[in-house]
Amino acid sequence: MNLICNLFSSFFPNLESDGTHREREQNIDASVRFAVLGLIKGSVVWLLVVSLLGLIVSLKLHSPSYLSEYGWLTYGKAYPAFWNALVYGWLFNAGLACVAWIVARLGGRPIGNGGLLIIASGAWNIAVIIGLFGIFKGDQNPYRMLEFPVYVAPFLFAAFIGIGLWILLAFKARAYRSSFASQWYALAGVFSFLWIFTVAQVMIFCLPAQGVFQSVVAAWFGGNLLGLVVAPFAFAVIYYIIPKVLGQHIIGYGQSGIAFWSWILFASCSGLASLVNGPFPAWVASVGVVASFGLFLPLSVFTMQFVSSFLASFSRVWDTISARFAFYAVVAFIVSTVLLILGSLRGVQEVTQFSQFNDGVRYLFLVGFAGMAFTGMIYYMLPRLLNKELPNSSLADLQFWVQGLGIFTITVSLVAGGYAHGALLNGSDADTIAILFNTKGYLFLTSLGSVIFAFGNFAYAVSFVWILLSPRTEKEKSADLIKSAPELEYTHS
Amino acid sequence: MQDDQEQPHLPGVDASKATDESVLRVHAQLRRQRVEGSPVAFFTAVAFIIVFVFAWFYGRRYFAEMDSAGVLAEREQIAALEAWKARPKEPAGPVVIDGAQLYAQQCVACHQASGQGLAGAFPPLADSEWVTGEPELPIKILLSGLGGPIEVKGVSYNGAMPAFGAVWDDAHIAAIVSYIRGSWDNGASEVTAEQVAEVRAAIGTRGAWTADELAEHF
Repeated sequence: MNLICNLFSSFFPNLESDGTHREREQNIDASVRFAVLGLIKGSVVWLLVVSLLGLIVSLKLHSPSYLSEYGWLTYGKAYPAFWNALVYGWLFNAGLACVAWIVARLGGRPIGNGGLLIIASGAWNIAVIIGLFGIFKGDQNPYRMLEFPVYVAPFLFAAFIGIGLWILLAFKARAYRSSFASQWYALAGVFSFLWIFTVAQVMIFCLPAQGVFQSVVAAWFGGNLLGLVVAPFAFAVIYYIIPKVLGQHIIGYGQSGIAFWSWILFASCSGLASLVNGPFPAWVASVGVVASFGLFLPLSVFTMQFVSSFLASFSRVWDTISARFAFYAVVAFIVSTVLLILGSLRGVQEVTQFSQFNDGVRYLFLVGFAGMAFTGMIYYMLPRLLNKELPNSSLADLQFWVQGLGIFTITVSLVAGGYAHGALLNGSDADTIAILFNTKGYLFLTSLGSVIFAFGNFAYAVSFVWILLSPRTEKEKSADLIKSAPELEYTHS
Repeated sequence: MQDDQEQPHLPGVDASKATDESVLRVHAQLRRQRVEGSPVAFFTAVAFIIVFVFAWFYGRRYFAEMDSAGVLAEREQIAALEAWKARPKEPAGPVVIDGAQLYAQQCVACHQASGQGLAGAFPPLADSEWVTGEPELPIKILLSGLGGPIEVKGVSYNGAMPAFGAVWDDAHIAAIVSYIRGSWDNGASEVTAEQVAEVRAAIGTRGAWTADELAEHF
C-alpha cells in the first residue's frame, strides 16, 4: 500500500532549475523516444497480423473449406494464434508503450536504462513470434491464453522482467513523491503478470498440479490476464487521458482507492466463474461467480468517475482524437463488464457456455476497451514523441468510426449469436447441424465486422506510417509544436 | 485556442490541458479531502453493501444447492451400481447357435439368400441332391471344402468351395448344415454335433474333396 499509493508523503520538489515545464517534458520524451516508438511500431504490425488472423478465423466458421489445404492454418491453430497475437502481440506492445510513457511523464524526470527497455521489448516481440510459429507448427498447449509452447515461456518471462524492471525503476526515480492512479495501475499490471504467469507456468507445466486443478489454474490465469494485466494498463491510460486532454480532474477521485483494491480483489478470482457446471468442487466456481458479482463495486466507481468526468467537458471529447477513443473505451468497458458479470451466473452459463457468447464479451473487453484506450493514448503520444502534427487527422477520424463500427458489429454478432445458438441447443430437439445453419447469419455478420475492423486497422497503419515518414514542415523543424500546458485547477467539489 | 477559425475539426495535435505535476498535485489533494456526507461516498457504500449481501446469499444458496445435488447424485449412482451388481443373471442353458445367422455371414455371398446360387458360377443349395441326400455329404464338403468340376441338378459348375473345418467347431457346422437342409423346401433331416464329430474323426485333416471322391454317397 505504502509503495503504491504514497498518500501522506506527497511533496513537490522545486524543479524550476531544470528549465520550464515544457523543456522538462521534452527531455523526458527524448529519453524514452526510441523504446516507446519501437513498442508502438510493434503494436501496429501485430494489429495488422491480428486483423488478418481474425478474418481467417471468422471466415472458417461459416466456410470450413476456406484455406483448408493449409494444415498449419486449421481452425484449431488459427483460433489460439489469433487470441495470443491479439493479447501478447498487439495489446501488450501498445499497453506497455503507453504505460512506460505515462510512468516516465508522471515521474517528472528523464529516465535512464533506455537500453534495457529496448532490448526487453525486442526480446518480447521475438518470443511472441516464436510462440506463434510454435502454435502453427503444432506445439501448442491446450490451455486458453497459455497456448504458446513451453519453450517460449522462459523468454516471455525474461523479456517481461526486463520491461517490468524498467517501469519499476522509472517509478522509483520519480521526482514527485505523490502518486496518481495511473501509476498504481501500471505497477499493478506489471506485478500481476509476473505473478500469474509464474504461477500458471509452474503449476501447469513445470511441476504439474494434479488433474483438474490444472484447469482451475488455467481458468484463473485466463481471467487474470484480462482483469489484472490488460485492464489495469487501460485504466492507467484512461485515468491519464481525462485530466491531460480534457483539463478535467477525475470526479470522485477520492473513491479510486476502493475501486483499485476491489478491482484487484474481485478480478483476480472472477476467471474461476468459467468453470461453472464443470467437474470441479462447488466452491471453486461459486467463488468465481461471487467475485464476478463483486466487480459491480469497482464498476460502479469507475463508471461514476469516468462518465461524469467525460460529461463534465463533453464538448471537448469529439474534438480530440485521443479523448474520443478513450470515451469509446469507457463505454465498451462498462458494457463488457456488465456482460461479464451477468454471463458468470450459472443459469446464463447453461445457455452460453458452449457458444461464442464469451468470445464476444472477451473481444469487447480486450479490443473495445483496452485496444481503443491504447490507440487513443498512442495518438496523444505520437506528436509529442516525433514533434510532428498528424498529417491527416481526417484519416484518424475515419479510423475511429470504422474501427468502432467493426468492434460493435463483431461484439453484437458474437454475443447475440452465441446466446441464440446456446438457447437453440438447449431448447430445441433439432439437429446440431440444423441449429448451426440457423445461426449462420451471425457468423457472416462476424466476418463482416472483421472486414470492417481490418479496414480501420489499415487506416490506423497508414496514419501511423504517414506521421512516421512524412518530412517535417518548416514550423515543425524550427519550433516546439506543443504548447505549454496550463496548470490543472483544483476545484473543491 | 486563439485561432479557432483556422483549426480543422480535429486538430493534428491533442493539446495538453494540464501539466503532469498539476495532475499529481490536484489528485493528491482530491484524495486527501474528506467530504462529509458526500453522495459519492454514500453511493459507494451502498454498492459495497449490495455486493456483499449478494455474495453472501448467492454463496449460501449455491453451496446448499450444489452440495445437496452432489450428494443426491452420488447416492443415485451408488444405488444404480448396486442394482447393476444384483441384476438377475441369465440362466445357464445350452448354447443355441443360429444357423441362419451363420449362413447370412458366410454363405450368402455365393449361394444367395434364396439358396439358388449364381447361374454358371455357384451351384444352388435349394433342392440340390448334394444337400438333401445323406447328411455326411454336406458335412464332409463343409469340413474340407470342394474343388474342381461338379454337376448339380444337371448343370456343370467348376469352382472352389472353401473349407470351414478349421474355422467352426462341430456345433457350428451342425447348425449350418441343419439350416441348409431345412430351408427352401429342402425338408431334409437335421444333423447333430455328434454326427459332425464322427465325420470329422473319420476323414481327419485333408485337402478339398473332388466330386468324384464323393460319388459313393449317391
